[in-house]
Amino acid sequence: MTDRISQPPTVRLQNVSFAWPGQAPIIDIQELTVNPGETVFLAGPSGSGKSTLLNLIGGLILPQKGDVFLGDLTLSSLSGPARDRLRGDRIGFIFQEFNLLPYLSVEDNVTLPARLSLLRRRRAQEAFGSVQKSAQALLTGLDLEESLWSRKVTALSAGQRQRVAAARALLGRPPLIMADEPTSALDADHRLAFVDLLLSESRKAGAGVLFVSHDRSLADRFSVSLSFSSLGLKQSDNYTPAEAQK
Amino acid sequence: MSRLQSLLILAAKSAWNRRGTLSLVLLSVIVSTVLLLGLERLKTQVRQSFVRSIAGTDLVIGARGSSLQLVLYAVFHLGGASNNMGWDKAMEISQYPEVAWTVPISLGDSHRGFPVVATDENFWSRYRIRRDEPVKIIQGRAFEDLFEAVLGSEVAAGLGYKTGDSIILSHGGGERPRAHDDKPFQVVGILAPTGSPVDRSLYINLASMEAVHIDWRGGAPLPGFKVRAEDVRKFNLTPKSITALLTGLHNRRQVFSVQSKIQSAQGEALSAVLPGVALDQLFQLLGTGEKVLLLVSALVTVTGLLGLAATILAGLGERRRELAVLRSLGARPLDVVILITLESLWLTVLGILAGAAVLTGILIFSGPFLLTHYGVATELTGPTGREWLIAGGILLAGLLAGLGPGLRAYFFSLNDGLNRPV
Repeated sequence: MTDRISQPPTVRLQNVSFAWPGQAPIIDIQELTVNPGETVFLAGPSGSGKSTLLNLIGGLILPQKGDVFLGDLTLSSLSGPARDRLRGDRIGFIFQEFNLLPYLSVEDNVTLPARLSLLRRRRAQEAFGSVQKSAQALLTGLDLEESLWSRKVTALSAGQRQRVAAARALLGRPPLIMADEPTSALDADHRLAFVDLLLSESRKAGAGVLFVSHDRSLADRFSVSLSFSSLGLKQSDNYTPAEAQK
Repeated sequence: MSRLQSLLILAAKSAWNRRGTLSLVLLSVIVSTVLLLGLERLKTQVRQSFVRSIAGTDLVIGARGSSLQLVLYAVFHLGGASNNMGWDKAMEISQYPEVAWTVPISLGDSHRGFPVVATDENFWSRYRIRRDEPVKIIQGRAFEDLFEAVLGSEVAAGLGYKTGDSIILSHGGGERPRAHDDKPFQVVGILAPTGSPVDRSLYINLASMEAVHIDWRGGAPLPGFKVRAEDVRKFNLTPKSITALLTGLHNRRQVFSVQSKIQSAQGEALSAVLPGVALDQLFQLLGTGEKVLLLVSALVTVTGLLGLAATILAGLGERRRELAVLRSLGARPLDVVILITLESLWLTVLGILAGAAVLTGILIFSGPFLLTHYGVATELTGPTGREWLIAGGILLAGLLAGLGPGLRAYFFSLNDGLNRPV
């Protein structure tokens, strides 16, 4: 534990304000932190600026005010291509739907991060000997049987597709998994199962998780639960560490 | 595996996934390639086969007139007859010290559309196709006597003749020529294919030509005067005139001095033509037509590539979500441009390769037809320098066509970020 605390936060937003041109600020966050290995639930209805937050953390846009830190780096100090590279190296995204490239097989979708990020390729190779074996281990961990691996992703159910997306996000052990409503296309039974699988695999990989959803019923699975509307306040105001809950 | 390799593979897999739509676009690239390369190939081959037929001859001599017309008629049997030249003049030139050999050519008759060429035995020993290939007889023998004919390979194959067959010549070459049916010829030999006008001609000796016309004057039989075939030997069968004299010199460098000697000689006005110069005139004439064809083919190519760009552009809207996924995985906006542009590049490369293959197939299958009907020998050679240039041009145009969709994808990816509009 002390070891983790000595490391810089996986992601940290400080006094971040962002407005699209000619509009009122859609993001106004005093502080948002995900520490290494921490799993954070962020509740927010649609229209609350979730996708803007995603783009800010991913470094696709820069805030007008404040700073976004990924580990030891400040995004605003980096060039566009450097931010692109950092995103590929350090963040695994899972979206609401359409995570996968329809023209690739299940396995090729999972190994995609290794094609674009050298770091994640190397890590995937180190972990299981090869990128392919890493992908297969993740697919197995996420309950996707071998007969599906070479299939086209279009042949899968919504639940299976989200698990493939999770495997892809986890490949090459990025320090942060960023999920945007990943369960909204799933029925109630599968939602909890998906979240539990995602969290246990993330824990195995040592990744921090920032999970954005309007579905508060999932919140108790996470070590930290936050609300989007309250982020304008000091984060410590509604900060409920997992330890304190016990 | 480099980033570019990854993008190449992704672009190829993505394109393969949409192969239904893209195959039509591919088809237009293939058609463009076949047109452009085919035109270039045909042009080269036509020129080669012209040059080849005349390569061994230094001067073509005939009555004064258009040098191009003389060469086309005397060597390729194309176009109409110019005036004849006197036989005595031909004999005189053949005695020039610079002249190594002469082959007299007398034209005018035909057999079922194929020209009949009257010549002498020098034709066998002296006439050369390409630089140094004599005409070879593959069946039978050369003509020796009156009313003996040797057939070019296509004449024999096309009309199904063999040695020993009897044939009737026609006067002139029109639609309904009058027949020399009182003096039939016997096929005594058949020539090997040469890929030149020789294949489409019948060869007889000059005396035979004289003999069939012994009772004709001014293109018509003399009324009330008939000479039977058995009786022609009683007449003097030395020709009075011939169409042209093909001439070879001992030393090619003397060609201009011999030319001016012939053209400035006293008496009958003659033309002595360097066949290469006349063919250059012809190629210049053809050049205009070729340019028009090239322009049309280039427009077809541009249209095809615009279609390619339009198709990729139209599909881009649906792929915005795909681009957002790639962006989330660390793809730079530049990678997106490359990915989309590569698609057009892949299709163009594929189209050029397939087009070249189709063209080769067409040349293989239509080769015999082109040879038979147009006397153009199509040889299967590797791509020439100009063909590489054309292929490179198509490729470059394909790349440019891909840049349009590529740039649009760039702005999509900048605007969309990770948002995925549905």
